[in-house]
Amino acid sequence: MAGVLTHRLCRKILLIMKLTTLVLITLIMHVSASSLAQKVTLVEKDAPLEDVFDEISNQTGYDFLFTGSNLKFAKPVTINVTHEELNDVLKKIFAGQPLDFLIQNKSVVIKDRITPVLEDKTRPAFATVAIIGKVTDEHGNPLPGVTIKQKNTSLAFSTNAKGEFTALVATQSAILQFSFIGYITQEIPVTQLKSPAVIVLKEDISKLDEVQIIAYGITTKRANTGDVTTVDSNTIQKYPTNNVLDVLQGTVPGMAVYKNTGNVTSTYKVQIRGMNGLPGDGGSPLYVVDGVPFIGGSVESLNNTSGAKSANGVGNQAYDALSLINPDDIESISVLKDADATAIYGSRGADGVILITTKKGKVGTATIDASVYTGVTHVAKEVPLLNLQQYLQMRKEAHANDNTPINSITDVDINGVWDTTRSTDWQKQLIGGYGHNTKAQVGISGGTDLVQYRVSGSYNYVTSLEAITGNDQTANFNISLTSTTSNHKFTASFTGGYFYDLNTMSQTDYTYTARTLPPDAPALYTSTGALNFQNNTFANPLLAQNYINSSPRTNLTSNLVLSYRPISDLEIKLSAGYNKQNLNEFLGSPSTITPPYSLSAPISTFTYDNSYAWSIEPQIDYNKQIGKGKLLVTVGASLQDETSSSEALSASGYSTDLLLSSITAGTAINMVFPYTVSPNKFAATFGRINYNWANKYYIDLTGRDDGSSNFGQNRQYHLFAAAGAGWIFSEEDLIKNNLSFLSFGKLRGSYGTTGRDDIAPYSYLSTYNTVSSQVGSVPYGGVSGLVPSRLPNPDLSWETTTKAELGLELQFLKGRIAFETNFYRNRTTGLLTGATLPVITGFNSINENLPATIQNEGFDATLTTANIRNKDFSWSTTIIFTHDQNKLLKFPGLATSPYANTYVIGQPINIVKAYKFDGVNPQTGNYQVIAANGSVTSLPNSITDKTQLVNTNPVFYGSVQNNITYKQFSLSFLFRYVKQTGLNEYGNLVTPSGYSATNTLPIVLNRWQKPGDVTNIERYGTNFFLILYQADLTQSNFAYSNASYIRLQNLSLSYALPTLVSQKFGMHNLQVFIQGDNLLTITGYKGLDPETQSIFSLPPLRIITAGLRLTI
Amino acid sequence: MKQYKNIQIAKFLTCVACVVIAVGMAGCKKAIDVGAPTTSINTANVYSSDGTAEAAVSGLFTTLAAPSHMYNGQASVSLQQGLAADEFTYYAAPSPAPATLFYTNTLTTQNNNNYYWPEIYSEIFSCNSIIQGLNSAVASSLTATIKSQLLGEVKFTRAFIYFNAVNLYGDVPLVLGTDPAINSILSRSPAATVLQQVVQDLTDAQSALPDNSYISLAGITSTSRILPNKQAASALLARVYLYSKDWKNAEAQASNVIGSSSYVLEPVLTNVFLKTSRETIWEIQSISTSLGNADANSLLMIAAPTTVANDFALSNSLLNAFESGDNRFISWVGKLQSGTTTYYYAAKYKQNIVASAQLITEYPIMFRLAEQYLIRAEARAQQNNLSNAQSDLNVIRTRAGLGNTTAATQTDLLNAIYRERRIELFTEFGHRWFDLKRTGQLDTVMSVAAPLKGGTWSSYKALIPLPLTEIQADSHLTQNPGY
Repeated sequence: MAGVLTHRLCRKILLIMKLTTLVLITLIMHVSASSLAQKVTLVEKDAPLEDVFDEISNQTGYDFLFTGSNLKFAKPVTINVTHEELNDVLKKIFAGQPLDFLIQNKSVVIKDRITPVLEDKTRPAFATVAIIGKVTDEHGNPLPGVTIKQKNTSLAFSTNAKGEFTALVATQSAILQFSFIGYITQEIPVTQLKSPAVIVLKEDISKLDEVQIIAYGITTKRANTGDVTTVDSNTIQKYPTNNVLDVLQGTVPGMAVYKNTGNVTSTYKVQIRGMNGLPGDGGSPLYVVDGVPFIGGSVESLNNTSGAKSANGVGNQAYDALSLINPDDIESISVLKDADATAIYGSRGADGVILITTKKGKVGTATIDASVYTGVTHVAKEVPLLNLQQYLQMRKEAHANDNTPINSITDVDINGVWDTTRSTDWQKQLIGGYGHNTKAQVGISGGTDLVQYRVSGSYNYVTSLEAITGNDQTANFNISLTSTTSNHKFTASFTGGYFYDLNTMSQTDYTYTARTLPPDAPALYTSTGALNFQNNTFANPLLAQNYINSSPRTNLTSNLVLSYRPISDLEIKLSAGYNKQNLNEFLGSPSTITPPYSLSAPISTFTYDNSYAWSIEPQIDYNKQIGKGKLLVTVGASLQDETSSSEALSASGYSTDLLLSSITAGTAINMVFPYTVSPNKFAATFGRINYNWANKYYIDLTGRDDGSSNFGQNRQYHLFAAAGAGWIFSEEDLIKNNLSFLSFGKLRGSYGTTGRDDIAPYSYLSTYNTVSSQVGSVPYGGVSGLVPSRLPNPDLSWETTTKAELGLELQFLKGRIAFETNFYRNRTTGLLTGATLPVITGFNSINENLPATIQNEGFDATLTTANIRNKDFSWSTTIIFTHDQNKLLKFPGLATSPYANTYVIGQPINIVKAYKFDGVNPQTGNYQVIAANGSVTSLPNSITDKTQLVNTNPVFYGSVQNNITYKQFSLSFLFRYVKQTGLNEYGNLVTPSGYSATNTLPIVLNRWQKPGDVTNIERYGTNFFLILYQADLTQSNFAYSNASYIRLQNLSLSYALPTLVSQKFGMHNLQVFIQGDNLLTITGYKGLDPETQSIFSLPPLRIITAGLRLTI
Repeated sequence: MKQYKNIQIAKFLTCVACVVIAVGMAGCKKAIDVGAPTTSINTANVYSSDGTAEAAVSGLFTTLAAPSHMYNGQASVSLQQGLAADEFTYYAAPSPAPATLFYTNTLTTQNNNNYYWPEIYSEIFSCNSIIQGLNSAVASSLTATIKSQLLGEVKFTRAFIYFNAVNLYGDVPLVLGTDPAINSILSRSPAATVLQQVVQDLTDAQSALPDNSYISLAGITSTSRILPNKQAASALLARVYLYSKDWKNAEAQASNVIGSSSYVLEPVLTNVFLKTSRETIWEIQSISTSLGNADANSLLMIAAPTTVANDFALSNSLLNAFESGDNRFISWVGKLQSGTTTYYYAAKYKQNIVASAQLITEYPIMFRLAEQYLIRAEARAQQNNLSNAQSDLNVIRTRAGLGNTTAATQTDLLNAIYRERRIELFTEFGHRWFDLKRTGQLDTVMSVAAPLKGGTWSSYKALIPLPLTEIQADSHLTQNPGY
């Protein structure tokens, strides 16, 4: 049955797609035929009226506007005219037809002839009055894409690129609604409209009635009982980035986004309302693109420059999945935070949900929007290092201190082999360059009342600022089609896209090399331009240019929504989607990566990472006005499958470097990580009941019975539910009458549970794996072995987060001042983790639900003020503030558990334990710490002697954003601020000073030199034990200090050419712009960057681009 | 502009929606069925066919054979306990690496604990899991003889591992099942209890394993000695009884092996450690494609030692213990001349890295006949059966090119046997360390040897410490006294 059903469904979908495409093509052709001829030659006999229209349209370029039902009663046409005026020809054609026509604005509007005939019940009474007009904003600029709807009907029209419209309504008593995102909807009775009419829409600064995308539906800011922040395409387009997470950094209250490196493929740490689970156990939000779950987070790779592997920054080998979505194609992003907004996603809502809605076609003639920009990226800061003199002094003093002779062969930096009078600024040489960044994108959209389409594509080219080879190129293509039957009952919409990213940058990050290479290291190139090896004593870092990298990634997204409205209150919907991501990475390490004086065998690795997700979600929405109340009921079901697989193999024994990219050209193939496949299936039924009484009192109940394949038979299903309520108290007469300055006031609250099933599949099951030996090793006794793979846990169950929230929304002076604040408390229990076990159980961990409870408590606040608003000048400011406190609330049996030395009740779950630093021993010059028993030691116990607690979570963070427009100029800039403690410059001293040929920070100048010296920096030395002592500093409380910063994260300045000028170029709108990212950082932090706090990878880069954007 | 047949489509859609919702609600269990894992096998299925059951046992031996584990290479008992005793002079830079900690007898409760313990219990888990599987209901479909042999092999292995564990750690938790709820709160069982289980397992193994022949995992008679047979179980039992001072049983079990037709002392000393050696009772097959016995990779000296090269030279006390004219000094000890200094190193195994598995000629030998003669000699001497003890000892001496023993009193003879063990079994499986312990000579010998190695000696060091993480993870576990 299911097979037949699928087959039928496919055929139907194909049919719909064919039809839609056909309609689309006709439409485009139709629109493009824009000759100015108005004379017509026609010879037709009994031709259908529609064909005749087509012919005339071909000859004249005039559009014919009609609804399908218009022509139902049309008679065939017989006509023979030669080179006659269009008007006359039409008169002949319409003689005897039950129809009339009207030529307006290069369109021929067909309407029913008004005849006092008997009312025909089978035919909707359409089009008796035609109104033409134009819609503009307050400055007189035309507004394209404004929806004009006849109230209480499904009849809708739209303005064209010039803001003009033609509306046909049934009766003189009709009321027209003019609505446009960001503007206050106007209702005007037809009787009050002159034709042509000019309608001026007022900007809605309150944003209260803007459509907000929420889980399985839409609402408005006014009606929403949940906590949702929406970022729209206007904001997104201000960021010169290929990953939309850059935009969310700082623009969403309650959401922290940190970049892990400055490399173009960097992953991000994303936390909505703090860390809900245990550190390292996932914790990324659920991403949903156009209703289809998108496998977000990171994609495992072996490229060690590509960013941290997990959401919480463990490892350094991964790509970020969200970089496979072109930000230019995103219409809006909704970040869902509280229980009311997220509980309907049940098992996957605990860490918040990010809904991405792509751009769709808009009614009107074809509009082309295009933009191109180009710019540079570079490292914003250089860290001061020891100069040549200080460096040489350090190395010699180190040898003197430990009485070790300078090795005449190995200590090339000080034994006279290298020129010790020569000094190089390696940061400038290796990471001081400029990378280039160019992007072009184009989108074409348009459509009629019944069919809308959008086609878009983009190309992005990025080079590294480092002295490496290769680049990163992306290209994508997206298409969106929506078509509706003429009675507006059935709608089909399809969105599809393909994204290709090819990264060929060689796998090198010079950041650490640039910081540590001795200043007297030889020149990179010889006088002849060849790489310099200084008589075979210098492992030239530029050898790394010889690494080969070819990492293509692809992303296919598709989604189809079929919707049917049998009656206007009921909608039946089916949403189906498929997403496939793929990484096919080849990393080649040719024999040329080592200097000529040492040999290396060529080797290459091949990583395959594939994941796909599909989902099918039927849904029924019912809404009903009952007196003053409005009821909205949604029920649905969801079937999802997310499967990912990966493997990595390495090949060696190549006869030549030239064959490295062929895995079979190697003579030995070994496994790097084994083939794994993780199937996940979810099945759920969900529902929502939303009731609103008099637009004053709102109540919202949601629930989801969710099943996951990750759990054992008896624990697979769980019910997640939430209740939310809102009270718009400003609608109460008492307040309305007495506090008129308060234009809007809403109090809302929600409470409910969400969950997480973020655990490897089959964790509940006892299984055997093949022996995890390398491919090619010898089976024991000729039988390839099987070994137990895990301890099964049949009781494995959901991790649940209970969220409670109270929000207050206020607007004063008709929205000129808007304030919103949310207080929340999230508690997570049954933490899913690989819980530590004594290895006498056979394994050191078991996947289970830890009985602990983590709490995230805090508040966020957003204040938006329209400071100045007049015709030429406007200035608005948005201030966002977030405070979150993470705390381990309960952990029964912690003291006797394996976590006794890891977690502390009452402290954040990711608390850092550190030694109590005790400076340098005045007698020996070695670091020392105060051990747990109070004694002073240089070799403490790394588990029990870490007595100090360091909280590295931000104390608060947020942003201040200003938008200023002056005439044609518009300027916006966003400062992001974070108050936090982080790893400081002392924590960056990972090697003992002078121990090896490694440059370091000038703080070491303050080192211990002779007995009696009291200082915080260990003596220079070459003794092996200094390496052990170094941890006394880098893992002590002294290695952490203030890492707060204020960063000018984004600046965008644009100038829109006056309409008249743009129109001369044949455009509706032409803008030039300059954009910058990470422009300025105000901080006391002494390291490379307070955000990444890393000395091993590039900091987030400064990006400056310039470009233009146009609309045709 | 075109009309759709929207009614039909709408009807159809409604149907689809209803069906999908109905299927979604009713078939939820099925909807999230992801089937059996495809990269691993459900445990129950492993024991439903001969092939997979054999694979599970092969997996166990593969783990034992992995280089850098307990029986083979860098972290092996032979190297680490040899370092801990007085067999080597170790040239290595000071570091917290286990080898150095063993050598200087500076293991503490906190420093590097990544030796032995995790491996012991991971392999014990495999043994227990396999025994459970072979005894479960599904295993009734296995061929009876194969099932019996597999059970014997695994019980033998479990006994072997527990016996080593007791000798290294003293009292250890006796894990016999797979349930983490039970196992994670176990405390240490007295060594005697563990040894009872060892004897029980070996007795079971003796009756289940092939007698005097080798049968491969696939049930085919084989010349390869990589799987234990009945004689291997007897050889281990002989060792267990010897360590337990049960002289009578030690003698009996050793006699079982010596009397068996499959084993002869290889007359040519350089053939003793070949994988084809007829002296071998049980050896572990190398699973590496480049190393036979990975110990050799550490032991064979290819250049003069430097302080950073991690080189193993034989200790002076060991070199001095060789009698003159001992052919073992010629055949089993390597010499490296550097300037005026001669370094002596263990060269029982002579094969270093090779290009492919086919070229491997040596496997790590766990039990060989010579040890059985020495066990019987000692057991007989302890029972005052001096003449038979002498003749057993002389078998070994004769092969080494030495004259008959001159020891005539029980004490002298025992000391002669101890010294013979030191020479015959040097750098093999920590025999020196365990012999010193069981014969009560450890404190005397080590208080001289430890300072020579740059450490100090205390008698608590006879047992090595449990990993601290274990004591933290299971509050019922206690550390060995002194640590």
